[in-house]
Amino acid sequence: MSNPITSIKLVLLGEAAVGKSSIVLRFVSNDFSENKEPTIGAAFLTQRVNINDHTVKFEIWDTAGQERFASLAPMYYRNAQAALVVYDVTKPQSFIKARHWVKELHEQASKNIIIALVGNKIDILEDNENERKVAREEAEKLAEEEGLLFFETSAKTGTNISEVFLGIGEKIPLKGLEDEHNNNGLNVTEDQRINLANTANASENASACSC
Amino acid sequence: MRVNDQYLDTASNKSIRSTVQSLRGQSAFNVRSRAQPSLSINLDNTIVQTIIPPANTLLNDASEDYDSVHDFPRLRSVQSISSIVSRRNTRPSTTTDQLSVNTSFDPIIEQTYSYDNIQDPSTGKLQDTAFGREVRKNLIDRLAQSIYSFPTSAVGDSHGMKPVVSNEIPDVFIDVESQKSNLKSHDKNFFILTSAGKPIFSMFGKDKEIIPFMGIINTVVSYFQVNESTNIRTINLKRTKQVFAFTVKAPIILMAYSRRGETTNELMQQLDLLYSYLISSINERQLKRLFHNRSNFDLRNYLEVTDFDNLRQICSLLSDKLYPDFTLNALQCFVMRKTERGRIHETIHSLLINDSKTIPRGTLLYGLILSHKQNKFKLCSVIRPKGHSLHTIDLQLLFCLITHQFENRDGDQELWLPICFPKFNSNGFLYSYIKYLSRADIDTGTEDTVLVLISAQKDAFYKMKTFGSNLWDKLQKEKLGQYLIRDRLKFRISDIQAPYIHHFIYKAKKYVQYVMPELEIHNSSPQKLRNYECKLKRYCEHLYSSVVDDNGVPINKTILNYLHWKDTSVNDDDDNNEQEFVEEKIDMMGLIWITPQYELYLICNNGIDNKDIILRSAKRIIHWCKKNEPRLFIQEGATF
Repeated sequence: MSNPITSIKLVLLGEAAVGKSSIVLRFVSNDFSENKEPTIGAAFLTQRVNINDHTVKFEIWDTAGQERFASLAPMYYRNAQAALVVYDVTKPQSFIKARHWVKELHEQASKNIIIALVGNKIDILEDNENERKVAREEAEKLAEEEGLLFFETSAKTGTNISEVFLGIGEKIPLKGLEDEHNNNGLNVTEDQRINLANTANASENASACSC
Repeated sequence: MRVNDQYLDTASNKSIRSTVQSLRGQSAFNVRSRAQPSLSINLDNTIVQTIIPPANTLLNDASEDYDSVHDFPRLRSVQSISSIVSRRNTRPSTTTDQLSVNTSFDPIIEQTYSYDNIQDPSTGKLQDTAFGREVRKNLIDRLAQSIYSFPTSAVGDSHGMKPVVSNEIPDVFIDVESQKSNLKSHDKNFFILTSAGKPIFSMFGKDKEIIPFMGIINTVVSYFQVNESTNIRTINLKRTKQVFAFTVKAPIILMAYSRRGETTNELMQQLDLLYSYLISSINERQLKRLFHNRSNFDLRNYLEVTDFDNLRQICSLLSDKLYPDFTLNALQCFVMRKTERGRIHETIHSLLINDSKTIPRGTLLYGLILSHKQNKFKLCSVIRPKGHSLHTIDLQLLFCLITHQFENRDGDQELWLPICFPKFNSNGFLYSYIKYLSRADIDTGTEDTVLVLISAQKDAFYKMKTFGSNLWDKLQKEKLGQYLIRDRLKFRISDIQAPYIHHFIYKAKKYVQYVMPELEIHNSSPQKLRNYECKLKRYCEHLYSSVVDDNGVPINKTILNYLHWKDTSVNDDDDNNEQEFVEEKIDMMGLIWITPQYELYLICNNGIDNKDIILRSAKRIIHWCKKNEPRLFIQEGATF
């Protein structure tokens, strides 16, 4: 019990094929695969990270970017403490979509939600800066107006990926006094916490099951 | 039916016919008494025998065929099983024959024949056996040994036997056209388009090539709708054996094309599966809404890469793979001991009853534990409400989704995916919790094992997650998990004492499940594997279509039918490059046996044409399957 564990529920949103699943894969497994199948529905993953003396457990919802799953998104961000809104720096359309997500999160999600705006695929710019279609300044401006964290990343090379998650981890009030306050009225989150603790204990017994 | 025509054209025709006539009554009696003791065949059953020349000989000019009579082995009458010949029952014979299977028989009794000369497999020399009992027994023994002879087979290893006869079966379905590479060359294709004629999907062909086709299909469909106020079902070109089957489900039109001799009904069934896939992804209500105000909507913009991948995969399973799940409409089950399966189901059941706090009644609709290997899913366990089960098509669609979702993905993640089960409710979505309990690993000998929990509530993810992990913990604690993640009891054809059989598929109708031995493939380049599977598949299809009418209904409740594929021309099989092997002549027998309880498809080793022996092996297989039923099939599952 030396390290208190804080769980952070995090959701990834953004247009299809901007690299949400790849960001998660890089963060969780430090891996990358070129041709990934699009996500259907949503995938749930967890990853533990040590920040200072604390262990932070990220519970990540990697959602499908496709339009037809958009109606399910509220289910995932409703109780989330953090959100990554991802766009592709080479696709202006994906940045417009990102603006929409930011707006929707401010309107619908919990008030204290921490949002990070993430411009992915900067590895493409290394060879040719002309490929950039979303100016860094434009994104910074949006981040400033809306009070977002902002990163430009590459899931392919790993640039800035862990910084995104650490940045979020530092902004979330760690387990302690604020804890109860944060979860006020969020019964589901409370349930999960119990459940996930069970799962964690169980995985120590059952070697094949690693949660 | 060319072979028979030759046969009847011979000078001895009349005399043979007359001896047959005199045997008629007696032979019918033989069949019945033979079958009665062990298997209680319906006395009214019909035995049908058909002889079919391989497809590649069809390409020869018919007039040459008559000249090549001397190639045809000398015939000799054997009074083993006489049969009723359905002369119409032969799609792949001469070009003038009818394509459809005709139910009205022309009951001519005909004798079967076998060779005077049987090739000694070990020396390749011709031996005049004259059917002496001694020699024949010897040969039978030797052939029986041959099936244990592969080094991969444990039995073969321990006995140190060497291959005597090749266990490889020839391919009679080589289609010269399909060796070329353009759109027309494919002997099978699927097209999906919208009612406005916009392309959605085709199995082969680039946009440029297929768009004119889509236009024609749309025109033909519209013509019948306008002029006849009906939907076109099929176009049958009997001369060229081409079948076009249509399914019109506004706003979607589907068409299948086949030159393989499939019946309209088979093709329509395949189209239904493709349509079901579309619906599983976008349900019918959404689809109608999308097209309601915009009849020229381009559905391709709405579908995703995954959808096209999945459609392509379904098409490939339908046309090139031995994937009886679709054709038999049944699922394959993971072999497990009766007590093990029973204990697993008990454990699941007790957890469901006692754990109602995490999982309130009604949250879980259906649960599955699956074993996954090379894109093939086998059922390990089923959790279902009493008296309800999901349609096999719905489950197969789910399997397709799972296959792709876990490619290149971290195995630890859990998925929560909405899916519409078209046969359950084509207008709504259900939600599936999917988690891998173990991943395939050669070192530890584990398989990919997947847990699927299905709910109607879209926010039930955490309940499912908790229940899933409780379930797996409990199974592990009871030491039952190992039975699910290790495939210890898989069997090969050589494990069953049924000589001369190359492959079989046995479907237990009661459980909607089937069983077949593991394929033994030695030179397994992907291309060879594909050819091999395709070959087996088409033998089975051929068998099946020989006993159904054009609506896909078996012509009798109980049917036993032999098919005989024979080479009557010089055979140039380019698969076989090894110089040291003398090519076997095509002389294949297959058997299909349908009763109200089961369906059996048998493919014999090449050169086996003794129906007596085949029938005996068939009975052994049926006996074996029945005896091992609790192992081979999930009988009850964990019902709640």
